[in-house]
Amino acid sequence: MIDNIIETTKLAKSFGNQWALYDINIQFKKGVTTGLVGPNGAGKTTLFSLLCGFLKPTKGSTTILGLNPDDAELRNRISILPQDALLLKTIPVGKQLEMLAELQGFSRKQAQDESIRVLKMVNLSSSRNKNADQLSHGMLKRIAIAQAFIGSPELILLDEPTAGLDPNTTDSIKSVIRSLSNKTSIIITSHNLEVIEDLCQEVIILKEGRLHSHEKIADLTARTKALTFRLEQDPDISIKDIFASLPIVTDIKLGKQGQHRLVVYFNDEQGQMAEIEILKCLAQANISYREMIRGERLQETVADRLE
Amino acid sequence: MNSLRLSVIKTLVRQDLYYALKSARGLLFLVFFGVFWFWVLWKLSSGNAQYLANPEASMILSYIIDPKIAQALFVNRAPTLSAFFYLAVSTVPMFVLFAASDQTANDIGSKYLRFLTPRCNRIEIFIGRFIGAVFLVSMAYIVISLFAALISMYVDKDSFSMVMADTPIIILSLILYTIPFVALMSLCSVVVGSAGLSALVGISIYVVFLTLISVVRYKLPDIAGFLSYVIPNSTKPLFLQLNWTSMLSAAVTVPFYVFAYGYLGFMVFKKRDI
Repeated sequence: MIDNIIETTKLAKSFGNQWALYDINIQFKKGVTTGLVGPNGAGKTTLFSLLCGFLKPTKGSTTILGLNPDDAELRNRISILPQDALLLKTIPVGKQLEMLAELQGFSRKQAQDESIRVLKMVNLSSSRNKNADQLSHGMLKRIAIAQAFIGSPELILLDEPTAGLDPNTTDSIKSVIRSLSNKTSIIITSHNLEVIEDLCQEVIILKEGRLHSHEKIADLTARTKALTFRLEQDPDISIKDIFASLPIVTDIKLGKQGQHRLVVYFNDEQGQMAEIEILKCLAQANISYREMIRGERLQETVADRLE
Repeated sequence: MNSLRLSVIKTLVRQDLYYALKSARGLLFLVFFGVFWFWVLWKLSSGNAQYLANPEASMILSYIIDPKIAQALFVNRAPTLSAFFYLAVSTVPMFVLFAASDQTANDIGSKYLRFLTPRCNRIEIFIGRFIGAVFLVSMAYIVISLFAALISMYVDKDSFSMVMADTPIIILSLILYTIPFVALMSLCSVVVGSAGLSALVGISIYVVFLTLISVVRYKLPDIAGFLSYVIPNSTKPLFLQLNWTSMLSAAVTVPFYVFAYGYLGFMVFKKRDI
């Protein structure tokens, strides 16, 4: 029984003289939905492609489900949403899904049923007989997502699953991923940290081709120990004095200029009473806010950490 | 061997043939091939090849092509079918380097392979695409050879039995002769990211080696003889003898070419980023 679904050891990849990824040692836990994040050029897509076996490592090694990424026994046990792979232009998308399902061992009839099932999951049943060149970018993205849901993989790797999708479609795709996360391990890369925050339990942060940190989302967002306010304007440094009289407040963090952000950390032993005290304090100081959330936004904590 | 599943290869070949008939590159090859052979067979159907069976014509042909081949093809044979066979063998590189250029090339460029690799091993994809290309080219040559045989029966009177005897050798020879060219293209198509570029690489390799062999033959005939085995048309004179013995001798080299080109191609495909 393996605990880690993926393990990398000193994994590195260079393109010419440029190291895109260096000395990466990571363990992805089984049954945990993990996000892979980082700014542009951090090496997310390179790491993702190495895990999927699309790219060959320059140094180091990877094991997936205890096997080498090229191992024949891995076939059909993992499924992948590649970011920029194109479907065949002149074959109906439903037929293409059937073809992929057949390669996973489904009979022709089963493959047809499977194709219908996964198209339904991404709300594209009506496009089954359309060719790829008749569909929009967002629809093609959903077809690509649908192919990753064929069969019952033990591990699903999704590269930017919501990029290019409208908010409604993003929500429905998120809900499908959420439902699958009970049955399988999922790894997601995304620039949209709201998606990562919504779907993942752990996050791996990459920076400049190196592993920056691997943490639980709950630890990063400190849901029960902080309140984040979006104020009408940037808070002044003197705002810290307002909370000086409140012993439950343990720390104050101000956002960068233009973010209008204020994070108040508190001792969570008093539960909701602590939150009420903080809100009262703000009201007394005549500070209004547009939005308040419990904890911190992953977007902001990750940005802070990467500074 | 669990890394080479026959059921997956069968499915890949079926899908590759289906896509070839639906894609622009497959249709372009079939249209180009069809139009060319329609024109040639149209010309041959008016009996233009019959004079090649005359002793005078055979003598002239002996100056142009190998005398043994001229004799084997045009003495006591159906001249229309022989003329078709000679033209077919001579044009194999032109058609096959084009038809088999997109075994993996476009899928590398479009990254479609990324949908296949979670489901198939790279060796299965490589072999499946090779067999798919062999089937496509073979089917095209079988159809065109049968048409040529029918025309020959009609044009070359009293040649029914000869045509019946020669047609199977012609079909088999054409298929066997094309296979090493398809293998050469399986090597070319793994190093580039588009079918057009793959065809260009294949044609360039072929032309460069032909030129090199011609130049070297002038000064060093032994080395030229050795070099001629690098490209797949070294067996052409044997196939053109149009008899079972020569054909089987030539057929022996086919696995070597397939293995050599295929092995090199797979080594590149196995290690390359897709």
